[in-house]
Amino acid sequence: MPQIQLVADLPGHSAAAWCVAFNPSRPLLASCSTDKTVRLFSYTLPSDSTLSDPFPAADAATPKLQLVQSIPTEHKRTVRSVAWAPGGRTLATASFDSTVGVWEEVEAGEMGDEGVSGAAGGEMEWECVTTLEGHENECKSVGFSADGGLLASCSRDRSVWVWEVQPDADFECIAVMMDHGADVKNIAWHPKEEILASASYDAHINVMFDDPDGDWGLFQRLTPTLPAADLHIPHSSVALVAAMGDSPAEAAANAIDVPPLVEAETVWSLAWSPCGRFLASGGDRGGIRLWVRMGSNPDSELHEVIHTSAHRGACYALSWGPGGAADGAGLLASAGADGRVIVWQVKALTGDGDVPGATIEPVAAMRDAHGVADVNSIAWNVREDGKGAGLLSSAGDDGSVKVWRVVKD
Amino acid sequence: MTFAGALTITDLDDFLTPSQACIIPVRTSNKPAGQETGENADTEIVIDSNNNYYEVSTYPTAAAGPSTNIEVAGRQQLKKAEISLNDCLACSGCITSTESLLITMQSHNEVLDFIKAGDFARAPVLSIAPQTLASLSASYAAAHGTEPIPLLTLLRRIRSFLADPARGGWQVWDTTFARHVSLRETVREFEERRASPKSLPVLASACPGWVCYAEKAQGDLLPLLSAARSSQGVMGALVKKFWAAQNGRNAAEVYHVTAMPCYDKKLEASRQDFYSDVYKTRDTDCVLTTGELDLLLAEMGFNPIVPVDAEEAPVSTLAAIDSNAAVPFPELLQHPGSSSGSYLATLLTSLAASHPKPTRVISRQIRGSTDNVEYLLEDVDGNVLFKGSRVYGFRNLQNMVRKVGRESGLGKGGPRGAGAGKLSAAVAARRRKARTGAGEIATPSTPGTPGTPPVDAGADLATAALLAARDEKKLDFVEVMACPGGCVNGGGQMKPATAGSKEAKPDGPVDAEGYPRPLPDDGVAPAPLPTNSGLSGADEGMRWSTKEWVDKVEAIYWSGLPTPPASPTLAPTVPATGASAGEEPVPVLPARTRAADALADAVIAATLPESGDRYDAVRTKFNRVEGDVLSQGGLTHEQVRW
Repeated sequence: MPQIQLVADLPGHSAAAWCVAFNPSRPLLASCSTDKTVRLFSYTLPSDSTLSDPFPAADAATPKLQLVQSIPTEHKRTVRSVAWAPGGRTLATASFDSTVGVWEEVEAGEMGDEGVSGAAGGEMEWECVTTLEGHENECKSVGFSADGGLLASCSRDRSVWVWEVQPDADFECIAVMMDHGADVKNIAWHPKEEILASASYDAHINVMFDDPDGDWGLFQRLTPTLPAADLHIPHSSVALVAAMGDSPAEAAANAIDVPPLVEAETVWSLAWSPCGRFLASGGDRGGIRLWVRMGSNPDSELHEVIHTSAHRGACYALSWGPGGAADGAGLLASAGADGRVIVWQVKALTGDGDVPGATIEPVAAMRDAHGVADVNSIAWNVREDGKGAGLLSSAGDDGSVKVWRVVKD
Repeated sequence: MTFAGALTITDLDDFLTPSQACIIPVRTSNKPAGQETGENADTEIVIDSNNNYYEVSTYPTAAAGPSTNIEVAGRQQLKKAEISLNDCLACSGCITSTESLLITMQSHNEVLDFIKAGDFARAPVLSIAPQTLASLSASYAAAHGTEPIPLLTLLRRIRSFLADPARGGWQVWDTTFARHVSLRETVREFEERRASPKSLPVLASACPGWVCYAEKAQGDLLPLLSAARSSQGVMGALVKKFWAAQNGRNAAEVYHVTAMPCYDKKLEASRQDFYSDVYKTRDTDCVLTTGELDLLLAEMGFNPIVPVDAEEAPVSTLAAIDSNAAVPFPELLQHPGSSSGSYLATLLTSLAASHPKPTRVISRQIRGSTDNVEYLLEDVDGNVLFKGSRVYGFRNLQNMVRKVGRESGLGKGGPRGAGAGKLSAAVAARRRKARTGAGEIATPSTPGTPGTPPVDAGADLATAALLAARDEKKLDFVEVMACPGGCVNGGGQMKPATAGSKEAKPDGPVDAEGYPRPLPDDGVAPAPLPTNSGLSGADEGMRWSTKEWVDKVEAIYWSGLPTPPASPTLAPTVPATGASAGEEPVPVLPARTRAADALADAVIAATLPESGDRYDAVRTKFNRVEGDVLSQGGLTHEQVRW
């Protein structure tokens, strides 16, 4: 069975690291933190890194990573989220200071009169080209749409904003949606269409689109209903059972008879499958739900098909990359408050009923991925040229940033 | 805190609500023991059985555990933090909504108490906004299944009802004459400011929601706000200064209540500018929303469909001040243009009238929205004289703020916060490059803005030049309103009859953040599109009636007037994208409105002090609200971690 292998333990932030994101076109990884910086790491792939098998051998040459730059963002509070635009030339940061920063790379020599003295020509520097204001308080998540034409952000102020990206680093607000009843934790753009999902403390997921008859708006409000099914671990994997099984502390906690919670749970995380047919959501009690899209219209509804137990604490992050089975559903990575990083294989079923089915099984897991710290973020490297596929990065509450890969046993 | 009934049926989402934990108690709290001396200042707050708060130092016996420390360490009783309305106005907001605070201070109950007290040493005056009358009329029509009551008739029925000495013997007027004064002051101010282009554009300041937002979040733009008082601001001066003096009273001897379509008008009335230090009174003592006025009238037993004497009497034409007139101001003056005060249309009218050549108005909707429309005034030679914009709703307001910031170099159009001050010459150069590159296709000076259609090389050069001139013209005036649809859709207006009563009161368990758990279904849940809707009629009405309802109120607003205007609204007829703009006539003021000019001049002359200081009656000032928790970065609430 495959295993998760540490590729690099990178020079971490001086405070909690919140989000990691791989550049979609270049060998760059971005991370952000309560220390208000964005760190950029570059990686060099081994020469023979063509992937025929989804998982390389455990002793295959590993990519080399190094810190390139630490950008002092001048955000006034925690930088909670980073996101690259398609093409990888623009970076967006979402901060608890309520703003979204948009960053582009400029030549340092281009700095003009106030330029850095003696800067070598051609040296590149990331610069804030505009700040998007409007949220009343902590901005929690930011993301670009599939073609980079739109940017969305969400906040504790319960709103989800959509901005149109215009030339000259200009942005025009085209929607402010107040459909959530509480803090909006996360947003996720559909991988192909202009469909946006948002997850909230109000225990719902909203799905929005640009209504042809009007403005941007909610077209479906997803209410989780399925009870969590027991985790199914393939018995053949001793390592997996060891990684997924209870730690002594967890076992002790389980021994205490806690009446089941009846209240609705915060939805922390969202991820669309690369094919766009599935949406995964991570909940406060650690379960992962799968929602399937019932058609291919812009406003085709989503149905909940699976709710599996996964983490022993909140599932803070999900990332869905290609790989594994050939049906397009791919590999889903999850991370949570229990310190685990888990990689799942999702398979689409051509069900005989009205609702297409799916299966989800853990493939590999890593316990205590960031020591005792919570794992706040997880991200697959998905590049337009396919290079570096299979790399997985995570960010810990202790400020650490790590890179992993899934290898054959 | 109990909420007024009007609030519980009101969806507060349209409001710019305060956002941060209140920092006033932090500011005023005593310093922990040992802080001055730089010692360890670990303290705990202890509450005793009498609800007294004590600060208890846990230093230096930290090893023994806090529970034992409390008894041995010094106790210091803490002052109770008191938060006044002025604190709230000077602050960027708090968890306790400012609106809820104001609602208890300015509610229909306060007015009822005034009436019940029966002490009419203060002469009661009620000034009703025309948008409020329109909303009430629509609501009464829906409730009674009748045709909408014309605004003038409704005004006179309310006047007749409240004039009863048993109910206080109220003077009941509308605010349109005050609006006329406000509009004239807006024109006057614009003429003053256009002499120096740096003080343009003028941003209308009649919307208190926008003003509140600008003072808290867009301090750099405050110099651009119109100094002309809003209708309510002028009305306050007319009632407390002019009318009171005419009747031998001082300002404190008049109790002035306004009825407004908007909750934030309560905030406006509380501004320091509208407070008289001499008489210890405000120009407007209490602001009721439309919903609260309805509650007040209902509790007193008002029946809107019963006719009263002389309700069909013709409107008076007052040419001069007449202290004997039953109604001292002309009733329901019309100002064609918008149902949000017609500030932009009035400027267009005035500028067209003063221009020596014939003019025309070109309008274009931005993104097909009637809430975001540009108006250009051009003369027959194709000179662009004026560019105005109607910007309603929070989303459009955001884009306006960015645009004005860019054009004026003020505000936050450029980078701020992140990367503040770092916008390098490089980015500016790149932007210029992009512009000139795109401009080569048409004329060299045309900015390549997305709204400009590609002009093919053989096209009429004059047309291209005109389009370029239109695009290059910077904004001169913006009619800004925070509510989508403007004042007829104000947050204090009556809701559609089918709505309401669906809001579940959070009487169940609430969680740590005060949200009910499990969360009530708010009616938005799985909402299919109307085309394939399986919803019941009532539910569908919930979702889709709001716009219809606002349209209805808008129609009543323009129809129930003494003489309906020929061209009611300045709504663009052509949904223009890019440069395919609609042309329309310059709005014309009705003769009766123009005739009010003489009275307006006389009233202002009689109201202004000897110094002629216009800020005493018809102008106001705006102040940047400091103490913004976010911008100071001092008090971070990192406990709100995720």
